[in-house]
Amino acid sequence: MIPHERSLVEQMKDKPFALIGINSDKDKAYFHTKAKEMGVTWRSFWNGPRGTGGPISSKWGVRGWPTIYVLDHKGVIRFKGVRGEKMTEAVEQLLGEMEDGK
Amino acid sequence: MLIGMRLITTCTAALLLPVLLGAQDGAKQQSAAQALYDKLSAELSKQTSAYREASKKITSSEAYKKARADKDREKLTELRSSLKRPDSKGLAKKAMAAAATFEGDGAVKLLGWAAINGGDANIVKTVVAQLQEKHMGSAAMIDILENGRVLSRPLGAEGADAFLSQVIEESPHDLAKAWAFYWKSVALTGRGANDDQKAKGAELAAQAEKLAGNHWLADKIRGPKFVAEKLQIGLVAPNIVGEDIDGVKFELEDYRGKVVVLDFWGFW
Repeated sequence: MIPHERSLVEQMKDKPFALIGINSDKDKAYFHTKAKEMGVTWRSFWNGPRGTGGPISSKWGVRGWPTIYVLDHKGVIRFKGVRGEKMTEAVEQLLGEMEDGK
Repeated sequence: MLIGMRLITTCTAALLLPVLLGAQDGAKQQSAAQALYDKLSAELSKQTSAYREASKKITSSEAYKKARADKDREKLTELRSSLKRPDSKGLAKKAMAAAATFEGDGAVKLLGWAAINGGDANIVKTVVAQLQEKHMGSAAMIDILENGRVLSRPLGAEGADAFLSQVIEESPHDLAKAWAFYWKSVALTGRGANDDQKAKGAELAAQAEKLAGNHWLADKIRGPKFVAEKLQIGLVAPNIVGEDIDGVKFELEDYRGKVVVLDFWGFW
């Protein structure tokens, strides 16, 4: 998943688009090492020292990882659980709508 | 005594030193126990990182790649045989030994460390027996109950249920009771639960939610309802206010005007 997300971020870098993570790594040092190694450039909320049991994912009722939501520019949830190419398509559709002034 | 001293490794000696030097009053005891707790956590985390590093080195070696391509199981095992796994059980035993030198919350904290991090069923059983015998009133029980998932397998369904019932009866702390209700509910509503069990589970979860107050456990219990009511397609996503990995505060709403992929993820 990370390679795909990395290329999506790269592909959309000049577009009104952001990939925001909610990261559930308990150990920040480990996160930093891996982020460097995998070229993770996007910003993430930290889910705290309880990892997948942290406050944000608890509130959002997250049961499986990864969990994906795609929001349009108005903050409306438009897609859930889209991964890989489907994620890219969803983002392209919403960017298209934005250009059309919807 | 001499023999005993020789058996104590340097690490244990370092861990026990603050105790031997004598922390008399309660607050001092607590902070000494906390210091040991932090030290054990740091040591485990250090060993875990070292293990990961060593493992990565081996799996990226040419010999390993070749053995994997050849599906040569024996060779793979041999190559990995030099790997030293984190000694969580050994550290847990140190935590148990140190716990014996404390009373009250300090002891409970260290016992909890051993049960949660030891990865060992016998340690969990021993810890829970000690808690049941003399620590049911301790506030430090809350941390252990938060990790209640690690208790259920070693204790078995009945043992875990008995422990949780005792917490509900004897603990003066609402949050400890809340966790006990919560884990009882989880145990009842697992895969294959019938309607009766589901109803009883929902009742227990409601009790847990009430007792949890503003604690995140209440959010956790409300999770499925939150998804059903707030996280449906077509609804404006609830805001998230938090900090990034570097501790910088930000909000989801900062990104209004952009298309956003929200991704709950991790490297683990």
